[in-house]
Amino acid sequence: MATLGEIREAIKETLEENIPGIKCYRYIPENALVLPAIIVEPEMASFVEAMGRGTDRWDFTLLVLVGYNHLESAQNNLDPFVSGHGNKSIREVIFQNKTLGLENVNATVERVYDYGMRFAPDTQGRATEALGARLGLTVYTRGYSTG
Amino acid sequence: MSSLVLVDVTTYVGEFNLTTKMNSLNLNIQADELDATTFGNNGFRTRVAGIKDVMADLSGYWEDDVDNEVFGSLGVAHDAVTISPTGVEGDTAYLWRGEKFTYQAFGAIGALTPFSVSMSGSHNQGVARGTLLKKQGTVTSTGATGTAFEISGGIGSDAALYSHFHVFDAGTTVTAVIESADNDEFEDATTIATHSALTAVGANIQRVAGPITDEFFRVRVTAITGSFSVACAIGVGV
Repeated sequence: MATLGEIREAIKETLEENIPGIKCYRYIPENALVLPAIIVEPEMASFVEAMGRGTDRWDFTLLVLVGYNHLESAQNNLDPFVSGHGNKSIREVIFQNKTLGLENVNATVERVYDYGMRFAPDTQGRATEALGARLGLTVYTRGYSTG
Repeated sequence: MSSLVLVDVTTYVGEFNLTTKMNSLNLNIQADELDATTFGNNGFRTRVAGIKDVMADLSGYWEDDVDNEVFGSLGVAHDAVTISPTGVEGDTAYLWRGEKFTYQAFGAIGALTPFSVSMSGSHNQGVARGTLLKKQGTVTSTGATGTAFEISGGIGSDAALYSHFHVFDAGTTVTAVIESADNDEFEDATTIATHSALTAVGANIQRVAGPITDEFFRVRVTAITGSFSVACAIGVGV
């Protein structure tokens, strides 16, 4: 089985190793982001997928953000990350690395949504203005140790 | 036992533990419903029970080892089937011999690959109801193992005790016996069934005809060489 922490770390490593120049945060960061960035957010878990803790399901939101100076150029920078294929495609990287380097794990990017989200700096200017989108990532793992 | 959230239904079929591959199980035990209504019956039907049957529909997530097991045993009669709603030693178990007649695999895009298997009873053993004496676990030495079970009143003369001994991983050889006693300390215990010299994965079934006046039963390994992963259940049937 893989723990939540192991899955978060594996997502981060998989994406950073395969997408040039991306910074992936396994936790929601407290401070300003280095862009472009992907933030791993656990959304939902199901522990009743199979009898005897056979399978657990984790649904993650991958929030992908790019710098925002100009709306059209920001979209131009965001599109490769949410595309179905290409050297920056998050979907393609996960498709080619379904196990995330872990045992008994199967990961799939199922959808893109909330394209065009905008993030503005707070009153202390502690964030960078960004344009983003969300991807739904589903990860199945054993619910028990095979060791 | 109170109401039960169904998360640990344990299913052993021969040498295979399907439990963690499955997310649904329907066990159907029935008797044919024969209409015996006659004229002059006060306007109501009369029914009697006919031949009994047992069937099970198992479904879950397809994996290579599931496919290997089910594909290889499709249409092979008399698989030893042990089903426990909890997988806990001492809890209820159903014992029967079945044959896989239908195997379905794969489904829609985006879903975790499913499978389903339909089994039907294939032996006049019918269904025995009892308990899981030992859930799947490793044994490497002789001695009593698992949890003893009390059958109040013993086994009647019109009934029989069935024992399923499943071997999931085999060492060199193992022999296990079912012992009965009139006390829960198993003083002066009697060997009533022997699962003898098992050397490979699979399942061994023993039947002991009633009457058995003893009320306490357990499984004991009497000889073993190597390490075995085993489970054992007993039940009362016909």
